[in-house]
Amino acid sequence: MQVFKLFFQLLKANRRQMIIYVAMYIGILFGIIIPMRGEGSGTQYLDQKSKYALMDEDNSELSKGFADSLDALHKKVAVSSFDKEALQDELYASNINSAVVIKKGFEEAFLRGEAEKYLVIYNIPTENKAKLFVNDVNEYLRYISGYVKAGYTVPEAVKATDKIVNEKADVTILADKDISQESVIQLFYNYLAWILVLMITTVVAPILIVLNKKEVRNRIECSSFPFAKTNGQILLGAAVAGIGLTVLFTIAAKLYFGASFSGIKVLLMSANLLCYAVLALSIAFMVSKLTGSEMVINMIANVISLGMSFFCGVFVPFYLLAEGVQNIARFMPAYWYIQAISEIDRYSGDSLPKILQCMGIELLFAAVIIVIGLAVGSARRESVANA
Amino acid sequence: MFFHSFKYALKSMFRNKTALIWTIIFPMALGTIMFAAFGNLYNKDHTFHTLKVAVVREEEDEAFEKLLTELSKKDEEGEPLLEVKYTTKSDAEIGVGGGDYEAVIYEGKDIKLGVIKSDIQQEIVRSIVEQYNKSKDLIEEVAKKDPTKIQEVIDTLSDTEKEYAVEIKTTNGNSDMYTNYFYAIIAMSCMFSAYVALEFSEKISLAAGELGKRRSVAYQSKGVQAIAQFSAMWMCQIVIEIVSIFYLKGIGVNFGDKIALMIPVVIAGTAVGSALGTFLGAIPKMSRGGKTGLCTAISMTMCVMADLCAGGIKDVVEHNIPILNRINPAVLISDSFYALNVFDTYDRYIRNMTILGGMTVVLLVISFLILRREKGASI
Repeated sequence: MQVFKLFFQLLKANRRQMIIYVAMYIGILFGIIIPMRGEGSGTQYLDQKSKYALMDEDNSELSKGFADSLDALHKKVAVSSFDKEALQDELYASNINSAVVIKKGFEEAFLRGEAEKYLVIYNIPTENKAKLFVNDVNEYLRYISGYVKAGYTVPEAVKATDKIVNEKADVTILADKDISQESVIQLFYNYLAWILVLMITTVVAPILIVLNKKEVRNRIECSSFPFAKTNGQILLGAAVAGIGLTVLFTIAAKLYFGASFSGIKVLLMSANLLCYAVLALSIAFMVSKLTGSEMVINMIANVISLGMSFFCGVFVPFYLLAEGVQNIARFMPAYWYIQAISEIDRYSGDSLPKILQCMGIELLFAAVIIVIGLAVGSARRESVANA
Repeated sequence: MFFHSFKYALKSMFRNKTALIWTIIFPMALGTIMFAAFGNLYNKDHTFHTLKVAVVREEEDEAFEKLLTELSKKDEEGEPLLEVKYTTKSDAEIGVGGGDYEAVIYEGKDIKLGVIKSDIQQEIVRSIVEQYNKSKDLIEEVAKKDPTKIQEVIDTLSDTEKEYAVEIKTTNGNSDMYTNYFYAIIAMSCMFSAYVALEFSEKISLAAGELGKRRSVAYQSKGVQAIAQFSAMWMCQIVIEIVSIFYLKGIGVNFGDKIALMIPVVIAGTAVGSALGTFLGAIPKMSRGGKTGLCTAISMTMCVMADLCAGGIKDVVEHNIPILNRINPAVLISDSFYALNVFDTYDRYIRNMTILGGMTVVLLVISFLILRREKGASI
């Protein structure tokens, strides 16, 4: 097991780098990305609310009633300032979809039919959520206007409108599960599609480059050690490293998600992750044949890992991507990894063949990439020998 | 002597063709992939478009159908709120499942909705149905109290053209939050200058081996060597980033109309990236692998925090630990692009550029101090 030991000696020499990567990616996942997302909805229809900030300078019966109704229909968010730049930042980041300013004299103006001069909404008018919000604002004031026309006083109109404003229409979800939501466990494993390729390529490829160095290779090749055994032990070393990473991330997931992540899901998620780790190792192998520069390895690793992530729905839900992008994604291994995760997340016995099929395709991709890597390596060796 | 070193540093960079080609390809390839994936996402997911709904007529409601007809007419922007198709229950439900309709409206005594997902498009349809139900309740209530006022109330409630508020846009620039990803790619490319700088910085370090030792005994001062190398590398990176910006603009990324002012940002961005690499390369008693690992960890974390792979991280940090955004070069680069694109004023742009410049100077001064103090006896 000489070469196998050498592989781990080199890995040990890079241990600081590996620890930095693992800590960084686990930190990014658990510290930033997962806390930013909520849980999925299941089969219930979730009220979609627009987020808004409100400043009431009028403090009249009407403005207070109006503010209460908005609070019931949408989600009020506090903002640090109502100056245009601060509001722009909040709108851009989607922290709010609208900012409402009720100016002094609003109620009197409303009764004169000039409400629009005293009610300002800062928003991005073309956005869906802004449209929904403005629609609700107009409707509320239209009801009040209707009651006032019917002879109600403003307080009576506010009271009467309060009674009807919270009425909800009956909505049925016509599917087993709301497709617009994904669980945090799914999110965690989705992000590993990016992290695993990036991490394994940047750590393992430099090791493979060392093993490929002319002096080392010549030394190994002229020894009595068979060529097939050398490659076999390198592959074994890479496989053990992949299993190690899979176990590490599975333990991290189990510790973080606790009882909500258990049973067959743990087993299937781990198996899928292991298949993807094999794929990531095959990419590292191919990249090691392309270049000897760590900077270039990093760039290639980023282009491959981020590129597949953008196309295959790692960073945004897959169904949001354009049809053309979805079609291209099918030719990428990350797509099958993500599909398997999605199936495992809502696992039923029936979906097992589909999950296994996805894992099989990931392994096939890995085999193809290894063959490409071997061909590239052989072509490069020939070109060096001919030079 | 400076120009001699500068020339050879440039030659050395051009000879490393693989690295040079990948440095050029990197932002363009990522930008192209990202544009293909996210280029139309804002328009698809956030911008309002006419909502296609299927109506299943279980029991005819004339007033409701009149409302649907009204809402299917073009508004001021030329885009109707709804596109209605009356159909059978099975067709409607198959259609909504296949994405042909946003929702199914079951028209009957009580108007109900069927959807495949709870999203904002479905909520707008629900809001329309609810408003109809609420208006009906209001009219019934008024009819009981004072039937003479009914017509006036109906006229008020039917006047859907009447706006009670004025809408104001906070920017005339690009409001597409996905553009942040492209800002982050350029920021990442600027930060990746650190790798080239790390290599160069190591080349003039005694610990780097024969080349470092030869350079250390050369007549030329280490300061001049370092400045010449830094300048050559910086110049190349600036050219690459400028080409990337024009390329991304060429494929359709909306950077706004202040493209010329983006150039100083990449000049400052590549400077800080290169300074970071020089600093890491100058750290004594650390292996090359350790330095590269640190370089990757620092630059990737900074870029992730500048919204490289998940939108909103920069904003969360801004609301909780804003100081981190002020000292993160990737965020400063990305924020400068954003400020140029959406604001008419330049306060934020100038602030970010000043910080980037300050960081570059600090990192370079520390690096040169470390390199100057390096003694042969220490290796």
